[in-house]
Amino acid sequence: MICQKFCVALLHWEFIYVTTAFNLAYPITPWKFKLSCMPSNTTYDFLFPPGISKNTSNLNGRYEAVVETKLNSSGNYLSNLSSRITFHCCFWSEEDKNCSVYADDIEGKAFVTTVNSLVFQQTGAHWNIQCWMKEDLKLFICYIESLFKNPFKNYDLTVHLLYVLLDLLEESPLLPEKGSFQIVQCNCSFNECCECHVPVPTAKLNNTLLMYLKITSGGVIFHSPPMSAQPINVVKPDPPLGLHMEITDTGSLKISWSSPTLVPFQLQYQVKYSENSTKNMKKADEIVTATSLLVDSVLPGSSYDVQVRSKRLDGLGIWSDWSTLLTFTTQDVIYFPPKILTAAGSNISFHCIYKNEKKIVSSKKIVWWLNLAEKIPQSQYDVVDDHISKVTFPNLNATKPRGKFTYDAVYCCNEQECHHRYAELYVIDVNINISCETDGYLTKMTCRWSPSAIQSLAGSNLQLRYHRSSLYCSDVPSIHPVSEPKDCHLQRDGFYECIFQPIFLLSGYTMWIRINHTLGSLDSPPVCVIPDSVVKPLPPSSVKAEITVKIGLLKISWEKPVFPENNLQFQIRYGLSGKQVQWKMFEVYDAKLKSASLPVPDLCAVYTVQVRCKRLDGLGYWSNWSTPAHTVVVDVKVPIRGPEFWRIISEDTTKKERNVTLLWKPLMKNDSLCSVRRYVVKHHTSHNGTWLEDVGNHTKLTFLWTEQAHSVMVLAINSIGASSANFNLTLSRSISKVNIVQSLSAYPLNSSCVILSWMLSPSDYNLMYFILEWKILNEDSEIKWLRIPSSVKKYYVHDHFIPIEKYQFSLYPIFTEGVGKPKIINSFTQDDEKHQHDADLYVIVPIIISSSILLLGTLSVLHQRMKKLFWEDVPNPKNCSWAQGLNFQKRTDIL
Amino acid sequence: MVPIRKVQDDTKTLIKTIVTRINDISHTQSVSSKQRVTGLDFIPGLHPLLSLSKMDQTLAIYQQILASLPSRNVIQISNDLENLRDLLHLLAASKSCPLPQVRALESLESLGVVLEASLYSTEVVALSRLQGSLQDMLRQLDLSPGC
Repeated sequence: MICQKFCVALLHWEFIYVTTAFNLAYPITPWKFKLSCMPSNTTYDFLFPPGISKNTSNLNGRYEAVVETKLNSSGNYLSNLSSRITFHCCFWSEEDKNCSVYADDIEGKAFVTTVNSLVFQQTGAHWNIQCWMKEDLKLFICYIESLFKNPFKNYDLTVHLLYVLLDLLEESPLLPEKGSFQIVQCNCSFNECCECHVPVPTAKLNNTLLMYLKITSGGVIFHSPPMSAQPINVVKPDPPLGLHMEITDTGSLKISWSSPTLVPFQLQYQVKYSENSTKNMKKADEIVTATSLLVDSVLPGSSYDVQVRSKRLDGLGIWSDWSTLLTFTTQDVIYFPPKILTAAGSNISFHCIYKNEKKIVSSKKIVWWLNLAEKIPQSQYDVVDDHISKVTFPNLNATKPRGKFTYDAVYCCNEQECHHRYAELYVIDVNINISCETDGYLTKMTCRWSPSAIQSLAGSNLQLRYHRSSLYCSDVPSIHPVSEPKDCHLQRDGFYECIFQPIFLLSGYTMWIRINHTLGSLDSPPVCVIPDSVVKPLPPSSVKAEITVKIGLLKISWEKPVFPENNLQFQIRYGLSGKQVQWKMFEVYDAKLKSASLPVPDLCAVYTVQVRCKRLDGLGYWSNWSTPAHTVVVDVKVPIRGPEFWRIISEDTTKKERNVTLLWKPLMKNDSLCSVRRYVVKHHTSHNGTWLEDVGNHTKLTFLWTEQAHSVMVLAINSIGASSANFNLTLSRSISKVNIVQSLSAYPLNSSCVILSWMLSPSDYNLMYFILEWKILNEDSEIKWLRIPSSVKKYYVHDHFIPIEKYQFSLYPIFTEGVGKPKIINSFTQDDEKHQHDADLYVIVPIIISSSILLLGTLSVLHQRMKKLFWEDVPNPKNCSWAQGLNFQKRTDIL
Repeated sequence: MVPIRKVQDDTKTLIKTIVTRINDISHTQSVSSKQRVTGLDFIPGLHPLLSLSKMDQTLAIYQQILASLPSRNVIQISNDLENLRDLLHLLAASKSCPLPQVRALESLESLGVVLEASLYSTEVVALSRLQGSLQDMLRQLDLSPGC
């Protein structure tokens, strides 16, 4: 009877689908389920559940049964029931072993009955099926695996998945029509495994995916019952990645991982781990929502095996596969943390558990060493518990690299025994100075910093980070949680340069350097800079320099730069032009000033001038010096004086006329201020009065002296006017006989220096100065002369004196009334007398010695008197270099 | 805490700086002040008597306009205006004046259309009027403006 009922149900597949209620589709489970098919003539108990209705819509929530398969041996559809072998297929699972079978009643209405799956397992074909939505939410996958005892197993297995994605509005009891199904061929491998891929648009993740399988194996076609799923409810994430284990700073084992991609919902994780230590073997299984798990009390010399998988936290979902097994083995000495990167000045602590020969050492017996060279004082130890010892390093200094080792090795030792493993301590001096400068256009701020202090830390990278506050800086700059990185570029000088452009002039830029390293990150002390307060202005422009005419000051003028608008102070530096200018400085604190006048010693020199500026309130930097300006030498005043001059008189005795030639030395710049255009000789005689004679640029003038007295004056003329102070010389026949120079002595000190001294007798005339003339005697050589002030009684004459020559020295007293009578000496007369006297002495002395001791005594007294006279006039040896160090009391040295 | 005197000085200096910046933009110097440009009524004109809130509102409009201009050198001026508005807020706070948050102006909705057709006119007129407004503000700040 039961068989008959199934035979009635052997209708066309598509017809069955049309008449089968949609909500009878097998709901795909998160776990594997099975598809079993068996021939319809198999005998089994057919149990109708009590109260079952022929109306299939009453079976809501129950998975549907299947239906039929058809023998496709001929490839044609066989309508003759006797020529077909019908297979009944149904889904079941380990969790629910009831297999619902779909059948049709006599009236052609579908109904469902449930049989135990054991019935199907005894014979027929069987497949394991698992379906899920991939984590990328784009692909729905069904995996079909043929069971080993499948009698239809052979190598011509082909599987097709027919599916339709129902619109949300379509999810009604009415099923889609036959043509609505799409078909995909599944990829099957040799081991009877197939994978079917159904693309699902993102927008339809919540829609119902209705599908069935068409399996061809051993020449038989099996149609599965329809199955349904909402893709979003069967998402199977990829296994977690990056599984990692480490011992935390607190001595726990931290298991961490990451999800491969971002899914639009939160995941939960199942962590499976086992601890294998000498003490015990422990297994645990925990479900967490974070991507890490802390396992307390990690033990030295143990191994930990860990695997993790993930699943959607809320709602339905499928567990991912387990991640690859990770094994972590702890050492006999555990340091936590094993490495510390910290900043100089900070305090840090290391913990340690020490296992020695299968026994954990008591923390009270643990001692700490630094670099195996220095025992750390016990005052720095702490006993955390029976096994954990702690050492603290207060106020750390930066690590000094020892060779390639850039860390300090911290050892945890069992009294006298230290394990070779150690903790690493990296202490970095993070005091990195950041200096900024805003350009003169107030549009760009350049910040510079040097990484030299932390270059020793290999594998670290540095980054300038900043936070901008709307206005100004806080009193104590601090690292803001919200910050931005700034690109900086390494310069040739080893500094990094970072440019902010455009800028907020009055905003506070808090900056610091972040040192990123695998051991962690450190931040340098933050600095806050307001661009407005670090402005380096452009140098002043239009800088001009001149010596002011008639005033005689160095006048410097400039224009202030366009920016900043703040009041500025200025610095002027000036000096004589040349290769190496000796600068003098002058500061201007009046922001309104645009020029300054400075006294300079030499009005006729070229001066180089530069100006720079800075904010008057002291903020910011000095600008660069302006481009140099140079003064031009021009006449600034009338010549200070006329030239010194002298006369040479040539007398024609026959005509009783005297030709006077005036000689003068060209006026120097210091006196001419700054040039001489021409010289003018001013004559005055009682008879002819006063007249001027233009000499041009010549320095010599000859005129006829005919009158008793003839006064002359030589004026120097420049573009401003005539010299104001001039020398006057009166030629007077009567005064020329006035003799006031009693004596004149000349002493050669060396070939370039001769000392002249003289004695004067009282006179009623007004002595203005002396003129000293000298020339080589008996030669028609050039007469040299110089003016000597009237107050002087001794004078050093510098010239090139030839020792073998004799010189004539003439000293003329110049009175207001005229030129007096000169004292003339021929060469060094007094010295000659001494030479002669010495020569005489060498002749006379032997005679005297041989004749009379008395006479010798007389001569000795005479000699002493002469010596005394001589040394009174001996010059100061400091004035002639050759005489220094000589004992002038020894006469022979002089001679 | 920044002394209010410094805030006042910085405000005046910043205004002078912006005025000089506009002067330095060469094409704004050649604009004749005798010629009136029509169709740009959304750009604020001159208001000799300004309160702090009015100043802030005016600057906000200019900031919006400058942000729409493509010239590179107006970006700096736009930043300066932001600083200037912050300074005005500090000044207002020192006088216990509430400065309401300035809303985006509806009249500027058509700015995009105007800019597309008359970019040069908009830039020149905006900068010119901004310069005048700033000079008004500078004078007004000496007179201790009201809220």
